[in-house]
Amino acid sequence: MVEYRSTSRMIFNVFNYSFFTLFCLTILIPFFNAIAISLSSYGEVAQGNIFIWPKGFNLDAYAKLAANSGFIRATLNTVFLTVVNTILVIMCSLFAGFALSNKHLVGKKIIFTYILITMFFSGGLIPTYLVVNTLGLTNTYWALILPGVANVFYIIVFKNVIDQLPQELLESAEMDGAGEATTLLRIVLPLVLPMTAAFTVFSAVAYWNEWFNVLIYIRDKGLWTLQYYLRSILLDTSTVSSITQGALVQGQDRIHPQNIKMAALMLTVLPIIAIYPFVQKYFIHGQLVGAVKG
Amino acid sequence: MNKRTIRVKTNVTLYLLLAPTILSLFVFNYIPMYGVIISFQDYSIYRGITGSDWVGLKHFLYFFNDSKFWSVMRNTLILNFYDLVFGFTSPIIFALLANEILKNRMKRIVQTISYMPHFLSWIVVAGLAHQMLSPTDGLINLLLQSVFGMDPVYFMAERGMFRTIAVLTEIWKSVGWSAILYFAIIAGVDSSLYEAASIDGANRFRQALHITLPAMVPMITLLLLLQLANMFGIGFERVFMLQNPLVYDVSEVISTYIYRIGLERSQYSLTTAIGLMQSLLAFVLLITSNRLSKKLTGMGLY
Repeated sequence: MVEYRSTSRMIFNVFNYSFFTLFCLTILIPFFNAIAISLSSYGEVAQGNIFIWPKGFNLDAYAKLAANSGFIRATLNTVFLTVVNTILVIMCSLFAGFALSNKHLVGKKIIFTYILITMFFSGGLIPTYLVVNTLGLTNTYWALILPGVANVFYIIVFKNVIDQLPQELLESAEMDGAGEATTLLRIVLPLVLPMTAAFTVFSAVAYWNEWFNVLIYIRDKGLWTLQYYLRSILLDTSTVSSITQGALVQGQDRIHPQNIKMAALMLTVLPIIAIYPFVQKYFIHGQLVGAVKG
Repeated sequence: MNKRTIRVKTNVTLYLLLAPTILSLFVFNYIPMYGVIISFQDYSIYRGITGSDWVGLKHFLYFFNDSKFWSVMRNTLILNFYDLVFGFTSPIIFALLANEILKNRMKRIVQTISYMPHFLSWIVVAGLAHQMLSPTDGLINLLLQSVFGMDPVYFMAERGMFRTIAVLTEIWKSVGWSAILYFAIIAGVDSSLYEAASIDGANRFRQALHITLPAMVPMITLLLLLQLANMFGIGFERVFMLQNPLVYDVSEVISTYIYRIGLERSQYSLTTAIGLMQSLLAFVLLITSNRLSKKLTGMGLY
């Protein structure tokens, strides 16, 4: 590409680069600020002038959270639900997409329409809630697992990707007497692995961040996910004081509520930020596929 | 085995593979669609759909004459309008400007950083926003105080600030990510077009205006259609996490209203009626805007 050296171009470049530097800072500074607050001492947080560097460095807030049974429980719940839900949704979508792309499937068109309709029409929040409630799933893990098992978007993408695989490959497997299950695992899966990886990362992040279903279906604190527990820490002073209580009574090494809030927030986003650089390309892949097929 | 038995066997396997999906969609999508009929009933959770009394359009008439409902409707439309004017256009501008960053390293860093907030939940984003905007130790207020000598502003409790905050946090969270689609299109533009233009003496600005932007138009149209179809819907999580009782009268939108009176006050039939009306409006909007777009630009969703 040709480099431009005119004065107006120079002025534009200065403006453009400053704009993007500023933009990146507006994204990064809130995180640095949160980290700094989470690591600062009670007195400094109470004075309220921490910028992006901790004052009176300590890890007390993190220690309190790591020892808090509610927080540990919520973390374990989230890990469990993320793993189970991701495996289930990927398996179901791959299975369904594979079945729908088989030309021998009887009633293919009807089944495909049946699946597609749910993309455009839905019963809405309340009727869905009533079904889950009637089935007795509210306040159980099932309410956080079963409603999300079928992901129509993933199914369609899997179907399209498998449709585009060389048909001779699938036919030769059939000739060799391979059953459908063998064909799926041995031939199709390795070929759609990039797509599968992208969706796995996508849904893992989505389930890690999930809290809406907890809000509507769960009352028992023991079933809370990490996000929902964080919400409670951010909004409900009694949750924070249940975490800091020991420190407040002793009067020494006191912990400011802001310490706990920001420490919990950072712990919640840590896994995502940690994997983000490595899986960024999968995210982008998934987003672009979505645009083309959607 | 003859061919026929193999076919049957194949189909049995295929149906088994489809079973979880079909079953799950039936229970959690189709039964709720049927459940929409409770909007014409006085639904009681103890009597069920079969036992509840039919009341015709009672709930529809009720919310049509309810001033609270109209204020919620108004909030939804206003916030959507701002999202359209600012939120929808910002990724387009973002992509065009980022395309002018000629150093690839810088471009990659900008992209990596700007995509990241998309992967945070609204709880985290709202938590950060509360912290940044806090009147006691928020950085924004510290800045206003030290530079302009202003008194601390309690942004989250200001009725006049809610929409600005909701629009800005949405842009903060998603502008980079939404720009990915535009980046992909820009990357696909034939580079000989730019070369020809520069030989003809077009500077970068004119190239962006006459080559890059027109290439983005089909995608812009498509996304605009989707956004227009969604004029009556606003993501629940954003508003729910950013609002608080002090700003309810400007922040309550249809989705949060349905949650609050539907689930918290068990007004199942009324809120299902509101949800049904919302879906119908979305459907009509989608068809209208698609037709309009086909007429004006020759492009549509279907």
